[in-house]
Amino acid sequence: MSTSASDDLVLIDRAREGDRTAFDDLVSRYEKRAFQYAYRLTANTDEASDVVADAFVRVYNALKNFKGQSAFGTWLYRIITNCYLDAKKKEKNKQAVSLDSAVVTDTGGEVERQFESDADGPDTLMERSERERLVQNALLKLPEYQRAMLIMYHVQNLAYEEIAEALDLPIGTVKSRMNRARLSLRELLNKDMELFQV
Amino acid sequence: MKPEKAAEYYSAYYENSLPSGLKSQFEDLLSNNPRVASDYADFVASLDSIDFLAEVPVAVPGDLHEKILRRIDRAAYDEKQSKKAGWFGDWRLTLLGGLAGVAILSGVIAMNRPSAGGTAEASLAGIAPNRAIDFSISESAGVFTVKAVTAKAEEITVVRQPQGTLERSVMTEPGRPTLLEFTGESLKGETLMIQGKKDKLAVWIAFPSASSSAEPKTAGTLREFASTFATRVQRPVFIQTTDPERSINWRFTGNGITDIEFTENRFSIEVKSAYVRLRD
Repeated sequence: MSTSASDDLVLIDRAREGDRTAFDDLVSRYEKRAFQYAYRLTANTDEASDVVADAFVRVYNALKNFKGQSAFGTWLYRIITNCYLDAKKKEKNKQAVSLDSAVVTDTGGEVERQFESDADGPDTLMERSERERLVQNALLKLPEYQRAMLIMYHVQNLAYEEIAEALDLPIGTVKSRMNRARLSLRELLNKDMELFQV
Repeated sequence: MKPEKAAEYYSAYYENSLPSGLKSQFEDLLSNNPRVASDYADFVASLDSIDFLAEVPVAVPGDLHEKILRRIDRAAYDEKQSKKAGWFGDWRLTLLGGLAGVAILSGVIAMNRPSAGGTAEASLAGIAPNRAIDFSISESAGVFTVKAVTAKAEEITVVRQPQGTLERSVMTEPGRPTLLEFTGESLKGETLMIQGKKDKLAVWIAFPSASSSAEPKTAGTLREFASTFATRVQRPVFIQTTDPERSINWRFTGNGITDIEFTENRFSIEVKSAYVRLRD
């Protein structure tokens, strides 16, 4: 999450002093990338929204404890990862009872979503969509920590140092686990590999 | 470098961070061992595939910002409330103690009234007015839908009773219906409490167990009655009363659905083809 760190600190200082507008600006600044990360972890729009909303509540409550030793974005990744892991724990605990998801209706209308335009033709779009689905499905089969690590590095473009901070692990551990995660992903994707040979 | 160890170095080679000695050993393997070469090619292809995800735009919900701010508003409100509770906690406890005393006294008086007893059909009463949460239930094709409409944003929790296990929670939007769907088949014998976290208003749904030849219970809480009754009539019982933990006695007097006698008549039984509703 690369925005100007000094701007972040200004907003954080103001938010700590009770300036709600500053906190809202901080949310605006990071919510999209936070959602992208959460969506790649969950592959579900509603779950990703919940994870992101929970994460920002934790940020709000813990802002006074933020020392600025790491970048705000890295700290946010850590919180989102923890919120996601907590949500998975809850989900595992309730799997015995199948409660369907809650649906918030808007008097019959669907929730408006923002889609970025894509100028590719239908065949390319279909292939891209299928490729995305296969990779996303493979990611979902990985253990949660491996998934988080791969997404941070390959999708969110975080450096090893940032991942180590976000996951609170030594950098050497991140590197060795990353290799294992990539090997696991390779195994999962292997049978569909011809699709990606270009 | 042994071929079976080569995979340990894939990432480091890919990132060009292998020390030169290891790098040349690895490259020898790639050149001379087709299995390793093919395996590494698969590895690189899988990394290309995950890198591809970074290029795929993710559709961000249009209401995400509002959702985050609502949750934060709620957290800020809760924090304020807990601070207030800290200041006035003792005073509030005293008041609650006093109210509890009055409630116990009222209960003793009510138990001594001669009018206790009666049938379910005779006891129709309305829902408490001015609820901050309006709950209603409907059924379609075996799916039960509880609709909650709140005046203000509210967190609705679904908790398994009597264990107290949180099954899920959802935030409502003021004035907009929030629908919670349940499939009875997957909830055999369970009772769920659906409650507004802030408002504390709640409804309960008791789902039937498989029919049993065992003698049904005749005493317990209203919630336990609902569970027994749900199994007897093999349909869910929706409880919309102020105190489902109050003790009651009941007796099934015949084979009809409403052939029941109670020691109290403070609630009505409304029989629908797919469910039964108990309410004050």
